[in-house]
Amino acid sequence: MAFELKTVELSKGKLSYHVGGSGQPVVYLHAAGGIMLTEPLKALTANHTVYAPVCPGFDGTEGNDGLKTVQDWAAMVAEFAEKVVGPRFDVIGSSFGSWTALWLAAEHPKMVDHLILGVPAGFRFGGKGGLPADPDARFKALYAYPQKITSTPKTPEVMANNGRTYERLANGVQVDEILSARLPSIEAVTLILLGTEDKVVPAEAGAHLKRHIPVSQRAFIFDAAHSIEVDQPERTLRLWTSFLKRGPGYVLNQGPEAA
Amino acid sequence: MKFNFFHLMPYPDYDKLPHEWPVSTHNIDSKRIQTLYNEYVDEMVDAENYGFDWVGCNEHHYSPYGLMANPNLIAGALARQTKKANIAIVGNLLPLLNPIRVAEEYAMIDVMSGGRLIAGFLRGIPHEYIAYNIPPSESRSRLREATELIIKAWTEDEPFGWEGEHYQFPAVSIWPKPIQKPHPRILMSASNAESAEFVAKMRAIMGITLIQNIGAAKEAVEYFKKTARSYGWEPTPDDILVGQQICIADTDEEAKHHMASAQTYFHQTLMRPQRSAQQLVLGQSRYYTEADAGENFQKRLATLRGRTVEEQIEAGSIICGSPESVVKQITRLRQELDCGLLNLTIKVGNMPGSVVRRGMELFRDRVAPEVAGL
Repeated sequence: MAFELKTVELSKGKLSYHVGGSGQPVVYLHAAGGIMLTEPLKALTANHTVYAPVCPGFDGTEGNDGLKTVQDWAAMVAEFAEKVVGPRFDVIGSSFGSWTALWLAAEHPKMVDHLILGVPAGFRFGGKGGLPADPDARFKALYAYPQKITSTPKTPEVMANNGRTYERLANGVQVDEILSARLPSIEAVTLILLGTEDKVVPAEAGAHLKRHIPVSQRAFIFDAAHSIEVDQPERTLRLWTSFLKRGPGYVLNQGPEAA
Repeated sequence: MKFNFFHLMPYPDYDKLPHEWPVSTHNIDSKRIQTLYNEYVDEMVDAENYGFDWVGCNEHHYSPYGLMANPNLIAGALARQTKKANIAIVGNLLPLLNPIRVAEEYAMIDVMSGGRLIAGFLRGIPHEYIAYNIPPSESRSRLREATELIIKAWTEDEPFGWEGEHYQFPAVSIWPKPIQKPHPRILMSASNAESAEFVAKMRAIMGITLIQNIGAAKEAVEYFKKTARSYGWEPTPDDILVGQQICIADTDEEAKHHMASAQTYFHQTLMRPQRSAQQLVLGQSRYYTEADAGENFQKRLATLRGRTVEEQIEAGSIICGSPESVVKQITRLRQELDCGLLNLTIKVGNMPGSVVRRGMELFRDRVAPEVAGL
């Protein structure tokens, strides 16, 4: 199902968002590269209404000087959700978007039902991981299978602005210690997803989140680098839909009964 | 150098020429096999006091070729009865098995033995795929995925799920974890370019066996080293294992006589029934890719089958002779292949137990002292 690009006026300014599909609402929070309408995201619209807000400054949108931290961006998402999505919804994040999603879940526990943290940024212990500066190395770190990219490439200018906006919000933080201290208060049932070939978000980040979020599970997607949705779209979608439908019970193999 | 006392646990009394695989057990006495298990396990336990650094077992199915359908059971016995030797399982056939079960059993063996496991991850030989009803064309991709899953199962403290091509396990947290950190040493076959690539990536010990000629083996070792460098590490002799059948006797003539007789049984009785099943697999599946078809196991085995004992010694395919001759042959392998690990099969085919025992004594007294420092 196709996505539409819309805008909404919020207290801190204008916000663009993509929306598509019908069903239980899911808020999708994008990575530092901006929105990519990946195959699993498109497929998710078959059974969900997917809202994908664009952080101001990303993807050619106007920047917002009022947003200074990831926490600020999460607050804006909360206001967006309250106004557009509804009182309770599921959240899927990708990298920087997972960092945002965690702040959202920590600050607004009653809003977030299922929380899926794809390759979560914000927890680079010992400085491990991160994106290489060299463009070729960066591309390799992002994709094990770049030939699977189906979206239109972004212009260098858009990519540069995305990078700058991310840097401003991330403030050079490698480990978000304040957020880390709040992980035990997360109420959402949480699934943490990691790629087995991901060198950007080390496995320790996922282990840390698993250890501290009370009701959480994590899964490795085999043969995927940082962009799990691009490298292994079917596996990613299978986990998303199964977890959104069944929560922690997704670990049970129901066999033919499931149908 | 280090030496593995490797045992296939063959059934030595098959008095017919088996014509099909799987092989019938009609008239086979399991009580006799109980005696064999005791004899073989005793040999393996004693090996650590006869100059061997490792004791090794492996997995085969449905024939007198080997009585270890699950080598981990034998390794469990060895873990308790040995004190210092590494226990080399060479290896579990990962594509046929539940990788989580392998991770658990290997971890148990490592813990029970106090951290002495050498973990072999092998693809097996073609007909084994019929035994467990696994598509042979999936053998490589299953091996790769299972290897990475097992390493995760050993090294991740927090529970995790696995979403892969062949394996989906939503909740994994094996108990116990291995003693060796980050995990036990891994051993894999690397007799062709494709497998060498993955072995190098995993920083595993590379194993080669059934050497047709020493030049080709040298090329395989050099290719592996070059590939390992591309992954940022430099293999040492301790990362290269060469498999050989061996017979040591008091004289060259005696050793060659025993080896020739044992190899006749090995090739004509133990290996015979597998050939037709292997041909079925090779003819109707993509077990071998084009890249490795030229140097496959069956071709190398057929080549060796047609050679005399003397020709095999000359080619570097087997080790056979008096202690003095054996020292020279081992020295040659060490120098030519830069290998620090030798996987030695002393119980070849129906080699009598007394010959095996005499070979172990000669190895302890007159071979090991000469070659251990190589």
